[in-house]
Amino acid sequence: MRLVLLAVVLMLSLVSIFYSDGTFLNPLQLNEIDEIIVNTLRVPRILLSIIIGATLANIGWTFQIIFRNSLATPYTLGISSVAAVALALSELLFELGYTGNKFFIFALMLIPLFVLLLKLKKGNFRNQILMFGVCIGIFSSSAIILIQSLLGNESVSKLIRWMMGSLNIVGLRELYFLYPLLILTAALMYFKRKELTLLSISDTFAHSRGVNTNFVFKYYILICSVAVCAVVWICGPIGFVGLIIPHLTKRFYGADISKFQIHNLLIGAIFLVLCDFFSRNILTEVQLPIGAITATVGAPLLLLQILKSRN
Amino acid sequence: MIDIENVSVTIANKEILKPINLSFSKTGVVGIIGPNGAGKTTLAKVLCHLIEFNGLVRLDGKNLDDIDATSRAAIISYCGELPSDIELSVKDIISYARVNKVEDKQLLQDILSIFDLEPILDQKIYTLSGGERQRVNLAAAFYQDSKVIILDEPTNFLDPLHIDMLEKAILKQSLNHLVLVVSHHINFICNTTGRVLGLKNGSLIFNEEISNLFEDKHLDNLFEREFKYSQNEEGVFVK
Repeated sequence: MRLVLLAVVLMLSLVSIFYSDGTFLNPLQLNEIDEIIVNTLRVPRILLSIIIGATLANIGWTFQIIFRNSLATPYTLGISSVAAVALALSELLFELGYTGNKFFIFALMLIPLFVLLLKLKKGNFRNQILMFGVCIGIFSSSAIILIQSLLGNESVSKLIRWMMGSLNIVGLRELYFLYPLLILTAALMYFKRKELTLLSISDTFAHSRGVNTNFVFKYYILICSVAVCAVVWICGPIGFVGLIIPHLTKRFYGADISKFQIHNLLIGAIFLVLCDFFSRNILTEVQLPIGAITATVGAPLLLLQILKSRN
Repeated sequence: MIDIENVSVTIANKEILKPINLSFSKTGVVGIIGPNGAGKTTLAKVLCHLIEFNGLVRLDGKNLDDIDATSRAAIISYCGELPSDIELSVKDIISYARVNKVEDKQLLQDILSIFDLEPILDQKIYTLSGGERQRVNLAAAFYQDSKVIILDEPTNFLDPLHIDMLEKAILKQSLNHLVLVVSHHINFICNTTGRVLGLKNGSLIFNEEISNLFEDKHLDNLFEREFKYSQNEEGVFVK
């Protein structure tokens, strides 16, 4: 089954790369402009969609298990909100005539976040983290509004554009660091998948089977957070993939993450490649923001699933 | 098998379990009873390191603090409540119950028939009734086959027929395992256990053989009410 899903990913990717304005480009007879488009825009973009879709779906399912909450998403910890504040701050510094390194500000803001996260006590862990994420979210949105009121129009529209999420990249430069990092985090998550399944049963069940629950919580939160930071930094907060894909995987295959983690990754990749295809091809003149597409496709799918499970 | 020296538990400045000394042999069934909030579950959780405690617990002669999680799981396991929102099937739960040990088909077959699980093997846990879920939970605990099994309120949600089956399963298991049973079901404790610990307000009130329990009216003192006792060839009954 995994091979079939992989084949679908490859097929969709090829279609997505060579389909353009209602016709297919012939891969063997590309003219110079088409070649540039394919090599520097399409291929990097599709490669990005694949890894981002897979990562978000994987983290979404993991978070839904460790927080025991079917509404948890990769952004539950508030990392995307922190990234948005970092971006807004760096824009503000830029307008004031300083050169603020976005990445540096983001990293600086993440340190207290991680310290606070790792300090949380075991017992009421889940509720604390959910509250923590909500607080960070509220704080960040207010901070962004404050900063926005000081920013010029161009910076504000840049910020809003970023917050919708985007898969626009030129060339493979970012992928050289993104691919190894995200593949490493996925491998680390795969490594402890059995512990995760035991945790999905219950904490005491897992503990009685020799799982160090406290360690596994922190292990996953740390790895997932690193991956989310990387995703958010390159693409902004692309919503809904991390929420909807795990639900679909569970419906299609089953709820055992140690058996279906790879299926989930591949479905995530398929979903995002597909959404990206729609975002580029629904309207020929404009590219629609990918975050809006994932939500408009994802929300009805999720709703359908909820209604079905009611029956 | 288990030695407890001066073990106490304090949570949020409240002493839930006062310093306690106890020891358990390698086999048999020991009951733990007491009113609500007496510290029964706390004591059970201490033994398998589910909560932090002061004092010393030795399993098989080794300090519990020094035993890694995997080895601990082979020695002792705790069977509490199984949540109702699990999306895995009964078969999955049973297959994950044994962790690193090799599958034992004979034991699995016995356990599935004792707890009557064959008809519901493919059902998801969230579709089961409370009693069915509890049977899955108990089956998983027995199938793990650790040297010591702690059952916390094992009779919850079970119908009389399955309580009888559970009694038999515990007695069979106790021939080569130690089974600790925490329960409010006094008749169940009387029928299955050899020794009973009585806890009240975090202190150990008594540690007696079942036969001595009634002569000194231990139960009456423990629960602060009068019990009526009767005994016949089938066992002891308390009302």
